[in-house]
Amino acid sequence: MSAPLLQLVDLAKTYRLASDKPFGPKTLLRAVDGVNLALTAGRSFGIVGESGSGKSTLARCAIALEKPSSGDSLLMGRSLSQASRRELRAMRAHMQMIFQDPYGSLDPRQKIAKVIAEPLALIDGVSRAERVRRVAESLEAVGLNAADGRKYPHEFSGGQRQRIAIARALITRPKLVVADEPVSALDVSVQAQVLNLMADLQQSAGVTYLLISHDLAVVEHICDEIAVIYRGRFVETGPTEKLLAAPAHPYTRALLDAAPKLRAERPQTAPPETSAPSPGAAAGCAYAERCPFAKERCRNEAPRLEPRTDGHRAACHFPLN
Amino acid sequence: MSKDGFFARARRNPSFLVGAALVLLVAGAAALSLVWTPYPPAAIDVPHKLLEPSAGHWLGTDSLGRDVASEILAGARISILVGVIAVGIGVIFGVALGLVAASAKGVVEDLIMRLSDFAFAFPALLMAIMLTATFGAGVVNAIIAIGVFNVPLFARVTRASANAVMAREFILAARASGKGPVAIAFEHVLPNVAPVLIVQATIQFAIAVLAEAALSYLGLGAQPPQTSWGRMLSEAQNLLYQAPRLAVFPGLAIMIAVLGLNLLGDGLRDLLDPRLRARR
Repeated sequence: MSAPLLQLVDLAKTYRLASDKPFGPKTLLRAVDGVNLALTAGRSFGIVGESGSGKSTLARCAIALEKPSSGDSLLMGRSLSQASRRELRAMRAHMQMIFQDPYGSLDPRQKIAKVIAEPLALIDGVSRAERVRRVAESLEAVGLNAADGRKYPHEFSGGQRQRIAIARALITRPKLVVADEPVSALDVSVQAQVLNLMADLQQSAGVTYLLISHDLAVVEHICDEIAVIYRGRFVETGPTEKLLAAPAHPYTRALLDAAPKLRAERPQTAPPETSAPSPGAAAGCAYAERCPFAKERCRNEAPRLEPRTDGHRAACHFPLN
Repeated sequence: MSKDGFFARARRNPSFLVGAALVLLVAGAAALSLVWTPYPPAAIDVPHKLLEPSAGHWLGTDSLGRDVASEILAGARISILVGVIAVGIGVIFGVALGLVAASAKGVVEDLIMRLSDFAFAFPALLMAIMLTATFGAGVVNAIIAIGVFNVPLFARVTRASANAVMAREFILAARASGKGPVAIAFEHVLPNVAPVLIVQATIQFAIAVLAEAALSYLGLGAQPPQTSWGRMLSEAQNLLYQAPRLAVFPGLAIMIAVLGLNLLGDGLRDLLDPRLRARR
């Protein structure tokens, strides 16, 4: 079997937080704490977690926008941390990114054609005529007109802007697109359109997504596999249907129950508290303090990701189901 | 900019309109003086000294019989020359330093910013006097002295605005597409800080005009026979009781230029600020 499209090996990112007292000891925040992941081409991967769980940091480290503190990220078997600046630049054509805020991710002073062509303009050996043609192609692929290239970003709605961001990400025909909360800044009615577009492009453009979201429904729509992240660690991974049908980790369960539904069912567990995770790591399971099933063992011993059935893995001493 | 064009909004902005009119008046005077003045501005005609304004001499003559109207026209030239070059020096070096500071971060940023703080600690005019006194009086040295003090100012303004721009997501998007820091600075950061710089340049232009007048008044700027509003003021001082108008006319000219540039800067700030644009 060939190398996975994207592989993360013990990826970790630690931030040093400023101390309260001058010259006092600095607290370390483990934003991403030893993540392993193998992403197969054609099987989009979703990462779900609450705000502050380290999912955006993970996304940025995965495509070398931030330098991981330890561990490595491999694109098609080639290490990103070992690559020279030139090599990395060439590799970026294969991995693009879609950002959360379509109002912030497009330069307000550039016309759409220029915004979209930017990744392509950085690849050697693409002629000007070819660039113009592919910008038009790309705009049409996301449901806009080629003539829209002459306008400025502020002339478009949020949903249209996110389409532009998608057109931009796809113009180099990348194999991997990292999408960090691609629809959470959009109206609900527009969210579905953009998600459907992304799902369609998966087939037509042959792209595999690494999708980051706090919303299980968004991830479910596009991804074949899901990982649930809590305080920088995967607590559960597996194929989408399997994981959603029979979550093994209490945190996954709580996330599922917290999602609003039209016909309200009685939540099976208490909804997750909204307190942001505090820095510093305890000895035991990071989720123990919020877990309704936590026992003595959870507080003393950190669980590891243990395989269950058919690629479904969970990090819990007392898995549900 | 499509819904409500720059010029459509400019027409409704009184400070921009008045400022632009006054600046055009001064620029027009300078341009006119290149091809025509009523009399040669430096021509001494002692028999006709200290004449009251008349049809022959619109603004009268000074103590050496030079035509004041001609001198005012020619003086506009020096003021604009000083403003353009002094601001140009500040913009070219200051913006470059500011962009480097914002892009490089860390030690380089600290070094550049502390150096510009250091330069800021000295009163600019005092330093300009010191520089011209050391290297010799004259327009060229005056321009350089004024320009040097625009450098840290533009460096600071550029760095502050560039840092705000660099925190935005499209910079990260550019990095994700493989763009290097130099290309990002020129293609993304600079166009987005340009409005702030244009406004600042207008205000600094006014300050430069004033500084040149001050240096020339002190005898450190334009030297006779070169005509400058500041030099005219300085010469008028001796005859303030006999012929106050000799001080009033160049004073008015300076006032028109400085007021015009300040109003223009205010107007541009409103017109180029995207937040204000959205609200109106």
